[in-house]
Amino acid sequence: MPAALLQSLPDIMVFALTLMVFTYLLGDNPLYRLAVHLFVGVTAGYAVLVAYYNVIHPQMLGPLVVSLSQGLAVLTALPTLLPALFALMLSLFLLLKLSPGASWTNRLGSVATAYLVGVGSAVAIGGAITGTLFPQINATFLSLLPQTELGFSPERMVDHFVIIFGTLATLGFFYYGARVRPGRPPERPPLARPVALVGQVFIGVAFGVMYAGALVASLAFFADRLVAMWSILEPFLGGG
Amino acid sequence: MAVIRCQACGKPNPDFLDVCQYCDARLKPLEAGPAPEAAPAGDVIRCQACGKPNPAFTEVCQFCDSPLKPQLFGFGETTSAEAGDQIRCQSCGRLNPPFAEACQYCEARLRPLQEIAGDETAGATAAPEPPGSPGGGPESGAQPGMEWMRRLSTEPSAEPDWMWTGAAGEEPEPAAAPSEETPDWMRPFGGEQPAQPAEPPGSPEGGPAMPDWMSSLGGEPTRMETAAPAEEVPDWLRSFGEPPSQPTPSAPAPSRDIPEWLRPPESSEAEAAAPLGETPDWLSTPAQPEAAPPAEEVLDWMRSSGGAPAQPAEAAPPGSPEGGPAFGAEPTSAAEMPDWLSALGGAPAQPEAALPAEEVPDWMRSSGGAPAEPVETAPPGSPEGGPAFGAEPTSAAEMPDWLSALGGAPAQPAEAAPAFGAEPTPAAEMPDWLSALGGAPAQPAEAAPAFGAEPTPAAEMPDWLSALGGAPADVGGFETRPEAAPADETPDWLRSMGISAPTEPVGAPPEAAEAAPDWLSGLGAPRFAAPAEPTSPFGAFTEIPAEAAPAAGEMPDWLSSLQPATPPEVPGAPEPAPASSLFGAMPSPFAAEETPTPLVPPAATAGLALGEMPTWLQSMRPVDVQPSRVPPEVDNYEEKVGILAGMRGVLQAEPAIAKPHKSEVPVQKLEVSEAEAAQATLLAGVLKAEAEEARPVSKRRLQIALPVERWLVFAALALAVIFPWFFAAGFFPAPTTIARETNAAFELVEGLPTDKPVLVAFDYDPAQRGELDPAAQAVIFHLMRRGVSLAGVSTHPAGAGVGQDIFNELALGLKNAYGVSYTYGVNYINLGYIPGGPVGLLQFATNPRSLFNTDFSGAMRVWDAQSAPEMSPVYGLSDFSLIVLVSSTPDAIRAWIEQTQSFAAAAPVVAVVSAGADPLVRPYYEANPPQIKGMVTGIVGAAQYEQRAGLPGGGPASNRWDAIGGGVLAAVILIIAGNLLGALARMTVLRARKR
Repeated sequence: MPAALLQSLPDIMVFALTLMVFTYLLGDNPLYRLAVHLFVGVTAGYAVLVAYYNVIHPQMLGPLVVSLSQGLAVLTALPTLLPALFALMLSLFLLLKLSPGASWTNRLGSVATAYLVGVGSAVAIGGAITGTLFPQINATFLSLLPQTELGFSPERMVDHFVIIFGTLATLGFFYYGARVRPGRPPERPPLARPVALVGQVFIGVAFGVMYAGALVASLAFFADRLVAMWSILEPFLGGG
Repeated sequence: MAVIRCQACGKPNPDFLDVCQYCDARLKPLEAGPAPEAAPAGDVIRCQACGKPNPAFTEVCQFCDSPLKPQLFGFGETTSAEAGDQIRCQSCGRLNPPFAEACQYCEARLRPLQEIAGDETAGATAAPEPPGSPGGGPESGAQPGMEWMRRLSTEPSAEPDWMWTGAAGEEPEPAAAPSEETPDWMRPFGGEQPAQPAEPPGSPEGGPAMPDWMSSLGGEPTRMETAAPAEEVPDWLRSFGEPPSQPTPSAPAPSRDIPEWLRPPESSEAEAAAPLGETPDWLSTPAQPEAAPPAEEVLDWMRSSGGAPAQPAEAAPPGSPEGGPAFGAEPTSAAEMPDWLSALGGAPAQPEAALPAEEVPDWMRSSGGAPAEPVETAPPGSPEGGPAFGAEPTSAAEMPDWLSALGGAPAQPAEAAPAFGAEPTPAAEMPDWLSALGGAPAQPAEAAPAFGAEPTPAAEMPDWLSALGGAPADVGGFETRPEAAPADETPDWLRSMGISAPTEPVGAPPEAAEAAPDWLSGLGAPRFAAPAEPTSPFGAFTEIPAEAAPAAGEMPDWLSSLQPATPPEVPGAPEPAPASSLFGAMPSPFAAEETPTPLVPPAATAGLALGEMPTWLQSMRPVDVQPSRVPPEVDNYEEKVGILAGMRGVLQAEPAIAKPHKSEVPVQKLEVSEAEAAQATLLAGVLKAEAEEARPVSKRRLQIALPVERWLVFAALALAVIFPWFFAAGFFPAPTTIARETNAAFELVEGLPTDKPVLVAFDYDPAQRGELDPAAQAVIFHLMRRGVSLAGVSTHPAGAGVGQDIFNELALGLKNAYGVSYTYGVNYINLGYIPGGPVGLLQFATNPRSLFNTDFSGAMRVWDAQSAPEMSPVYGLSDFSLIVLVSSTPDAIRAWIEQTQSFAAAAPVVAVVSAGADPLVRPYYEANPPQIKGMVTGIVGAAQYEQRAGLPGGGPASNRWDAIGGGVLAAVILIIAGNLLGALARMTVLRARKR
């Protein structure tokens, strides 16, 4: 096989796979499925390899193997190996989750699951409170008469008013303390209805902006692909 | 707090509630309220029916209207003992004023009739009579309402004499005082002396308070006044069950179980007080025929009607103390026979002398046209001197007008009226009403009218009778005829009444018009005879002028106008039944013996015009009508169970009418015109179209539309992207306005020290490289160009590879562009993948060295000063000069900020995010103090940063600016056009629906 062709083989494959993905315009078809399966497979394989070579081996198996291979005394190396051993144990327990139903092995896997869920929840909640909730609440306390170096700034006042009122209205939209009355659908209290309506507007605007950003991102992806395909195709067309 | 679940709706409710708060159903069962006696003396009384509280002053529950206090619903209980002056109704329990006779709520009587009658006559007191008193009874104290019945059953004095059921020979106890409960009209029969009745006007003798009609008929008031109670018992009743002998005074207590008149004949003694229940003479065996009842014993009405001779007061006859025939005994003489009986034509074989003229009541005298004879003495029955009741008017003058008008003028005033059961007197003695009925005996001696002779001519006929068009001579069946049925075929009693047996079978229509009675003939059979000239005392009201009187055989106008029109001929329908006399045989409904006569004469419909049926209704007329063949109902059902087993004609438990069955009438066609058929078709089409509109779009249509739309949009976008890139470079100018956050990021990178490394986190997949690579490359190239050491990490498994690739590409480009060598391991290093999400980040933030020993490739030890000297001074996140977070999702940014903020206070954070994540990441930038110092958002931010950084030849973002611009422009146009088209289509659909 010519070297140029071999060198271009990845590009050719990229081009081909891109076209295969574009065939989805015609509906679900085998080419598209092939491309999708390849993508998912390669991604999963790559992730496994990364996890093993970047996490499992260097942080769990490696120290154990090395210490055993080096013949170190277990008691001596135990302090350093303890985390690895604990990780190994939990990993094995997690694998036991594959066992059926209510067996005792499955319950051992629940130990690892419980540890993972518990630790993860604690970290996430703590971080959310300290990293997001408090700072954002603090950030909402804005002065409606902001002062700048040049004095009172109406622009910033409007900005602050929108931020404050938008934040409160958005929070008010998520008030679900409706009273259940027989024969009537649940409704918000009368005071909460206009606030929820404004919050709904703000949320709608935010979602619209997010949609616009996603659209731009998709166009960027599309443009990048087209450019890439052209760059691959151009040499074969005698260009560039 | 306990919860009670409602049994109706199933929703939980607090336990302190009695009623469900959702459906208002009771949660707890009703409990019986306290007894009224136990009710609190306070303000509330709980109703025993519904359990709800009521004020103490109310008598009836305000929720369910039931009485709150126990009611004493004893029968006949008076009210004064309970509710003071008010009367409590025994039906509904409500209070009424004391003067009320009927309950004002339920209209039930508040006082028994006996009580009211007693109050009216003698001003009775409200106090009940003590038990055992003549006027009271053993239960009077408890049930005064039943007192009148009790008196009748227990006390002889309360009973009229004729109801006396005492033992033979026993006389009824005379009432010490006139009974307060006995009405006046019953007193004569009860053997009671009238209690000081008011003197009738004109009554010289001050007789009892007797109605005038009785007094006028009667008799001598003296007889009734002075005679013992037993004297007032009519002979025919007195003689019932009583032997002619008088009862002994020492007779045992009377048995009141069997009325005397039902007992076998017993001897009765003529005493001053004859026992009640004595058999009348006519029912008793003849004992002493020679003894005529004293005149005073015979009631005047009987005497006057029967023509019994007015005899002076004499010894009592055999059958009664005063005389009169015993029970079962034939009246041997007219004197023994009650007058009314004798008047009916049953005069004994021994006619007695006629009653004196003064005994004929006026009404009889005047009606009969009898010569008005002067009245010398007071007449027996009336002050005017009319004949006594029951006495036959001896002359026309004595006959009442109405009676004489009926044609009952006595023909033989000297003849005694026949007694009941005797041979009928001549027709002249027949009462008019009888003779008018056509019951004149065939033989003058066989039948005699009770109230006169043969019917008078038509001139004497009352107007109302003559107006009916029934001439006496024309009355059929009941007319007095000289030719009557043979006497042997007619019962004596009937013969005596002057009624002859019909010669025609029952049900047979009369053959002659004269067979119908006058009053019947007046009902309008054309064949009925026309009435003669009326001579009724009521002529002023009923007299019909001669010219207005319908002719013989004609129906009166009012009746003829009711005749229906001739019914339409229905093929196959049976002919209507002919009209017939009401006294004739009912013809078969299917008989066609006679032609049907229209109910409404044609003359009545002369002025009516035939109505025109509207065309729309005419079209609905069924044209194909099958004759309904309704089978005749035949009940063959025989009950098989129960006590009615074996019987026919029993109502079934499941009547056929309740069972659905198909009509036997066949389907009929409708006559529909072409226009109507077209309209019906149009209506069906409209309905079908509406139904089709509601259906969803067909699947095939969607299968074609969606791919076409997809291709079109793809094509438009592709052209919009490719065309500017190929043919319109520079069409979209590079951005000149730098965003505040992008400029802040640039400034921050520009001012970084070079002795500390920068941590770059590549938290995105290769799929997002098209958007984030330009921004990341712009920032990283700027950092490389400044000579800042870089360390790459990623929380995504594939992000480390992306980072590796970006580092390598930019290092090559930097070298090519600026001739600066950027060496891996010396200038930049890729630490690799951080597992565990936020937990791994927290670990990395706490101690970066604990997480990585080698780099991403595994070949280099990260913390070795020789292999990676830029990483040797790093022990924590604060040892980095800048943290650049590149992510396509806001979650990674949030996780980094939340976990590392406390550990990287000295290291600012710059976020390079996708355009879609910008709204959720910007609050961290807008925070106070800001948690993110700068942001580069998407391809637009990348282009701005490249412009700001002055990268040579632009950057990838700048190179794709035209393509991206074209694509964005096309997308905007497509979105706007699509919304407009969608709104237009919606409006069109709405307008179509409105139409």
